[in-house]
Amino acid sequence: MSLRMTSRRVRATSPSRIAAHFVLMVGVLLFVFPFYWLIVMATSSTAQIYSVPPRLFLGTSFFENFGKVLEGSTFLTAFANSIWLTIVSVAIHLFLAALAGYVFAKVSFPGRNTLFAILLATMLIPTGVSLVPTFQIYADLGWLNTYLPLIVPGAVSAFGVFWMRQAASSAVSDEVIDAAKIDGAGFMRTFLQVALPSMRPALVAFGIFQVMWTWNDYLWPLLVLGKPSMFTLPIALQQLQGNYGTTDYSVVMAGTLVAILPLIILFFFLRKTILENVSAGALKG
Amino acid sequence: MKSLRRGTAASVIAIGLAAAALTGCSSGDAGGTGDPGKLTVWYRPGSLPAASIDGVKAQFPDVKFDLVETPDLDKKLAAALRSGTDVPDIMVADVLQYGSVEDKFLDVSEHGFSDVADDYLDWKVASGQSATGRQIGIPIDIGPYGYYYKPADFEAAGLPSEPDAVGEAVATWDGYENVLSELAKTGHRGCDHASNVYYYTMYATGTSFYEGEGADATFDPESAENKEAFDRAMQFQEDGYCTNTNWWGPEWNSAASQGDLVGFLAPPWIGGALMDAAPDQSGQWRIATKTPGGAASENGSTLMISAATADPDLATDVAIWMTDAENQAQGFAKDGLFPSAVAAFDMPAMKEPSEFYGDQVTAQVLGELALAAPTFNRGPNTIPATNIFRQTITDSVENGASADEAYKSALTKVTSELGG
Repeated sequence: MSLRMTSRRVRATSPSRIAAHFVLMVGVLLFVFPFYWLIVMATSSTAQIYSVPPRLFLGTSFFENFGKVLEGSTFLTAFANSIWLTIVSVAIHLFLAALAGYVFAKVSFPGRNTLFAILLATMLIPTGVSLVPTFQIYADLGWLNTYLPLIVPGAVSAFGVFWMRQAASSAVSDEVIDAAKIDGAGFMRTFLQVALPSMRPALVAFGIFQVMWTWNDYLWPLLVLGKPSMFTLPIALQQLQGNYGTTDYSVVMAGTLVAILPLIILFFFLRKTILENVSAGALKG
Repeated sequence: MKSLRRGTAASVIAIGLAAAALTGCSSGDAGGTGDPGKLTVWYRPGSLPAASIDGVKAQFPDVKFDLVETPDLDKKLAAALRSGTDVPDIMVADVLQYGSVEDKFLDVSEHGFSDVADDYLDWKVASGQSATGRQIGIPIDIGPYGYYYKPADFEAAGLPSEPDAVGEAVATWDGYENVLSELAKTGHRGCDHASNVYYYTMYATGTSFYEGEGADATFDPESAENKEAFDRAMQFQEDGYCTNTNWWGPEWNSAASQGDLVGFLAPPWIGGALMDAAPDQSGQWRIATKTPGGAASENGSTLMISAATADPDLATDVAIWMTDAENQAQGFAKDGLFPSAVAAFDMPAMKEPSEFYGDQVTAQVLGELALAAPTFNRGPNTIPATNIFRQTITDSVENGASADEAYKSALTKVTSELGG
């Protein structure tokens, strides 16, 4: 504390600080407004949404709208499906990406760099090109109408391995690994008890992104799942779309609000870890 | 939302690939649809009457149904047709869109549809036929255009205000233009957007851009009727008769609720949107009994059946039951789907007075117009070409291009993208 007092003292009300805060406040308003608008739309009726000038106050129709969401789509089942699928898929993904990243970072074997380069090259292939062939593969394997095409191919991604390799090389030091080896730990034990805990901040940050992507994934579940009882949330929300464009937007917004709540709650609990991990990279080296 | 954006771009490519691949797909076996006695039905939200969905299991107790209400049905269907697996037995789909793979769909006239074809509007049945004359679509709903207007504002402009009289006044294009100019003098508009007038005219004249019939039809974008419709719409635009607000936007809603827009040509679902936009104007609107230059109707949807279904007669029976007059009348009352089965027009559900429209029996008015709508001879390029012209009109409302410039640029675009 005493160190802080002797560093350069900036007056709390200096013009540059006020200006900086002002710009930041504007930024905050711009970012928060869409969420606020979502809540306004979710709590108003459709006629109120369409009024010009647009109304900016919260309405009172949330439960009415949400009731229509439950009537008009398989929302609750889809919610449970999304939660289950996200947890399973992200858990597998994080584990395998961390494992592969650790191996690429800490274990030297012939052809390691070439293999990693090939892995990175696969990130250049656009999704659209592989869409039709991969769908054909799942169809031939008989995996349609199951959750397998959503879990198995997504079990590891090149992006995840890349990120985890960076995390492993910066967070896990060779000396600790050697120490563990001397103590008689085998490969898996070293990985689980030495490497994983040190990579935890990176895992959390990557995990949040992976949760978001899996939660919001629309195209693959749409193509692969054939029973409404298996649908995930993004598809269930689309079921609220009307015929010929007659969509009741207040109802869709109410559904969307409830659909993003888990993500917001998750981010809220993990925000410290994420911010730590983001800034940790900046201060190192 | 990275996945969503990736997904959208990817799906556009996928549909293109799937469509291209489908034409080359020579495997006759479309995967089969499992055992007889089990039927899978895919439908978009709101595209089939709730009465059909809720009642089909009771109507056919020995059949196991898989009723799948799915968004983006066309994406799923294209993927299923491409891979040959999991094609549903019955689906809500558009005959034109799948014209290139029509042999994957059942010709229902061979399985019992010809007995009931007369129950539906003849132009609607004709629209369910492929280029080679196979009946692959069973009619569900249609979208007859009506001229919605506010009698009070018409009276104030010195125009007739009863639905019959207004119908007579707008039945010809000159009469319609006269109505628009009289309204404009009092500061109101009788048209919402020039592109909608164009779109209406294409349906009223049955312009399809194709010369000839059936498999010999040739695509000719330089149709005289199209040019006439285009020029007329641009003329209304230049004369300031339209509010320049288009359907499904807050500006249109605002124009209606604030009294600027007092008349427009539209299919029934826009009439429904009006009730949401201006709920306090209940009782102040009517529908005229005639529309300019004849009657028009949007095509609506059809049910199609997979050629690989295990029991074609059963599937056809189910599809016919789901679209029969009784269910379609219920579909009108509860789901806003305008029937195409003529007997439905006489059912009690279609004789209810509508409070919003001043206790007018709107279903009867629209029903008469539906009966008079022309039969189209559409081909695969009809809708894309119409949309390009329509979009050009919308764009020139924004950027102020003249009618000639706009027409030339639209024609160039159509020719370069669609040939002819």
